[in-house]
Amino acid sequence: MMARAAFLVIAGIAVAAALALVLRRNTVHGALFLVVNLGCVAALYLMLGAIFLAAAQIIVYAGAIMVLFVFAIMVLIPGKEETGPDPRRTWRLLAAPLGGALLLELILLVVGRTAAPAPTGAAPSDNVAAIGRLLFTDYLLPFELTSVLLLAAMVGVLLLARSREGSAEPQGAGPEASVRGSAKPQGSEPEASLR
Amino acid sequence: MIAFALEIGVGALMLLVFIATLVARGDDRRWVGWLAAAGTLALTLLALPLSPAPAQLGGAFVQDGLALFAKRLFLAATFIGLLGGLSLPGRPFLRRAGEYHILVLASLLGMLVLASARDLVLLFVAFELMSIPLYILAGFAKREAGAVEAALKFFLVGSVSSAVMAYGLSFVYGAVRTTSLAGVAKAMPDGDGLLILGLLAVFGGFGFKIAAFPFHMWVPDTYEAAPTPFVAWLSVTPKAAGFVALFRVYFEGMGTAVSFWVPVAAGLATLTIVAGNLMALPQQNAKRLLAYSGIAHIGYMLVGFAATSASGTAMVLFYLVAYVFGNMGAFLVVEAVARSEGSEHLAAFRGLAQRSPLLALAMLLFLLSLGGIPFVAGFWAKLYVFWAAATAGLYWLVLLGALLTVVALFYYLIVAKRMYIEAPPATTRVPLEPMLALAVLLCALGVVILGVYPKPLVMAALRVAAPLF
Amino acid sequence: MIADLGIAFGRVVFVMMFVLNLGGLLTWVERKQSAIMQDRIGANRASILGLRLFGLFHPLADAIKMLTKEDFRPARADRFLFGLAPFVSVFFALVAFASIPFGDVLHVSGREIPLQAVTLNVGVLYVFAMLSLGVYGVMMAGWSSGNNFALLGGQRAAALMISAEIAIGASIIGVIMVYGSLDLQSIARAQGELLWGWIPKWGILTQPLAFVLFLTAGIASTKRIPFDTPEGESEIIGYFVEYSGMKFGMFAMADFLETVVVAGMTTALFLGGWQVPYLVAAGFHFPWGATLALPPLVVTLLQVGSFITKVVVMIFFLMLIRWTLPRFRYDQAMRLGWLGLFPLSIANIVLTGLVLLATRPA
Repeated sequence: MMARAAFLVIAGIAVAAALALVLRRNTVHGALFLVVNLGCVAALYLMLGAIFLAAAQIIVYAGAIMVLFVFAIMVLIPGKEETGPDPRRTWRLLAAPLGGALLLELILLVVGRTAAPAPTGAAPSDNVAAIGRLLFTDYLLPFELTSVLLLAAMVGVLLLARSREGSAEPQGAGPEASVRGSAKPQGSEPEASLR
Repeated sequence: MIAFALEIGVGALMLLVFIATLVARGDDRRWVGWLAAAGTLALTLLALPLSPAPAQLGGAFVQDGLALFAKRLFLAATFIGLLGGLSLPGRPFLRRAGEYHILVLASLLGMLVLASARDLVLLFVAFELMSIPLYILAGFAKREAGAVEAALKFFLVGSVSSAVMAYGLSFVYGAVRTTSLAGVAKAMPDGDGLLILGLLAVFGGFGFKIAAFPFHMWVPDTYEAAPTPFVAWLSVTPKAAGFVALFRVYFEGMGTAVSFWVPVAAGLATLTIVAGNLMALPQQNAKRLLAYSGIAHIGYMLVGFAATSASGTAMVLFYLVAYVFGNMGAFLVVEAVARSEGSEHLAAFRGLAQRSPLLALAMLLFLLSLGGIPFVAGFWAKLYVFWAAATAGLYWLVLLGALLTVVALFYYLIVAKRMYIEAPPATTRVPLEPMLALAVLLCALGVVILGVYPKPLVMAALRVAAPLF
Repeated sequence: MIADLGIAFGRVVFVMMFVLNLGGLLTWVERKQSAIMQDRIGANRASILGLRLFGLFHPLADAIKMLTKEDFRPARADRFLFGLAPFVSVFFALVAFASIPFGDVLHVSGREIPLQAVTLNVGVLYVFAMLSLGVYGVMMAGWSSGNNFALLGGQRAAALMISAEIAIGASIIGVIMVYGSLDLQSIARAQGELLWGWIPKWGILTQPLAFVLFLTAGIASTKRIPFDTPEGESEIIGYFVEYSGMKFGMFAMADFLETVVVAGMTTALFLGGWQVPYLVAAGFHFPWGATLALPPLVVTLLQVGSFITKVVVMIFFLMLIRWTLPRFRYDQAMRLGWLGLFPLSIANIVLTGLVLLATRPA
């Protein structure tokens, strides 16, 4: 009873935050609503006994990814409100019925289903070890591939974000040099892009 | 371990290139590219004698005939693509050659694993490993006009498609409660609505990756702005990987339930063929023309997919090989001409036959192959695909495809006309880098050999496709 | 049921009061300690009926002053976020302490009472998560003020906190590897074991590099001198420049609370938590064979006392650093975080792994 009430409250907040994310014109507010949504999802994981997953969700999504999102939005958005007419307004006319149809379909499918049997036994209290074991046995390959993916992404980010090609950079400069080189304009750069 | 030999090899090669880049000094680091190309060639040769191995990691990774067939294709195509890109001019390619090749190899690793993935998690991770380096490579020449826009378009469409795919995969998992594709295939005959909805969403994600019609918007712009040797590779290998993954997800082990995908694939094929061919007609930029024609070719392959049979699958595999050689070759010739004339406009091809007869001949071969003229690879590819579809009873689809092949021939022959009939603006030869010439030569050989003697490859494709059903 | 609720309530209240009061007291410590270090007298004027108590009433006076000041809001501020930001800052700093244990499990009339506000088997991750969420308060404050200087301050703060948290997370991993748990209580318990029969296996001995890295990154994440470029009370305009009254006070308090949390985490991970050397549940067991039996309640009191002492000493040490070192320039702080602390933390993980592999029982 308590669990169901808690679930309804948390899920309600999650849905409301997700809606607010889509409907708010203010991007910073939207991003913060997304943080609320992610927090609610973490709470749902917690209710399912997946404590590690909940903590990882908070740290990775709310604590790291969204911080960078909000950071980027704050730097890039000139005004507080992103206004002006949407050039592709007509597409929304198409999106609404399609989205509605998908929603209806999902509701029909989910309502018609009988609840699947719960996994055997209660959720293990120490699921960190279990997750670790799985990651290094059955899911070893995806795990290792992800590290290659991160390496490639890192190389790519350095490639795309490097501000100046050559001239200002001493030969064979490592990352140190680039930090030193960018130290000076650090303060003035975001200023220029404000408002 | 032997089952992972190729993946480990590509991973090690990537790390080797990475380290070489770190220790490299000076402004010209293109020698790193030689390392990557040589390594890929070595791995291609290594892949040839490999034989199927038992499934690994609890069935999540299979090294069967299909996987090996696909991996050999990916490796060979990557080798040709790397050869074509070795002599790219421009500062970024000199200084950042290491990064370019690291990203290509990372993407290649993703493709190799994708061809073997029999697990939803592995499938998705491999897909992302294949795709994300491609976004970056599309924006590689970031100082040039349009490159950033192209990369961004590709990235946005690609990440939305990944999201759709992940969303679909979550439904699939919810319905079958296992991440194993074998489990999915087993549950499919029950016709669970949630499972079908999930698989349809995944199909949408695949549609973006292989650039089928309603999901194709990124293709022309990205192709036009990205470096051409990369585009040559981009236009074929990820598509091939996408098709192999499609077979794994939608065919393998499903038995009679595969017939469910016929209307989906046939509908998508119709749209893609019609749209791709018609939109290619007015194009005046060679890369955009090839981009739209590439979309049309995806449509023809979807015709083979719609046959939902072992022979259909095999014919798509054959088509993929023919498409790899034909399309890559055409893009590489465009690169050679563009490097000499400084333009990718069709007008740059005027009188190419009088200036560089061999280059023009190669281009003619590629165009004929793409158009489906007898005795080059593309003819057999189209014929076999249509034959498979007709066997499955999809006569209307065959008729439509054949009709639009005529349209395709029209725009391919316009290029040929420019090369052979119109007068050249200058009489100088088009200079050709040796490595680029080698890459073009390899493609031309592939097209001609497959056109004259397709039988061994067709047999091999039939052999590897049979166990799926 | 009622008793359980009461015990749970008591645990939470104890931790909250401990953290809040320590945080409040820190304003006084900061003034007095700096005064002593700089050979001054320090704040000593606030008095109640002539009673001065070494200036102990100053925190009280501060609170009254802040509460009665005008709560000003700039015209261009984002109303909602401007009001929310200080609460977010304080909230996450306050709840972060919840899973840090201040004593071993207490046995009272057949009940097991764990001496920590919340028992979590991923306690380390929990504290880390809460610390990382604290960034939002700072960013919200900087953005919602409608002031470009505040925005810049907020971004400096966010960048600093992110780079510090990366290093914190990476340096903790070494500790987790050594003690094989994410539960702060088991980590504290494992630190009671003896190395070669006589050295307590405290984190500072098994993970000395991680200790230095964690402490440095921890100081950076509290945004206090020498890493106070985000706020820089007197010289640089910081993210809470538009705040006044108690909301301003809350930001200052959040920094003090974070200091307490960092001290608490350092104690739990590196200084043996609530461990007293050679004290086990039955009393003292010295390595030279002598024993001293003690009743369980005394043992518990010793443990809690030990924990509080360690935290206070750590705070004192942090304050010492704050009044000793000059401020890092912004780019220096960034470079330290990304090119100093982070790679060293990774090296520490590799090193720890190698050592564990070499010393692993066959």
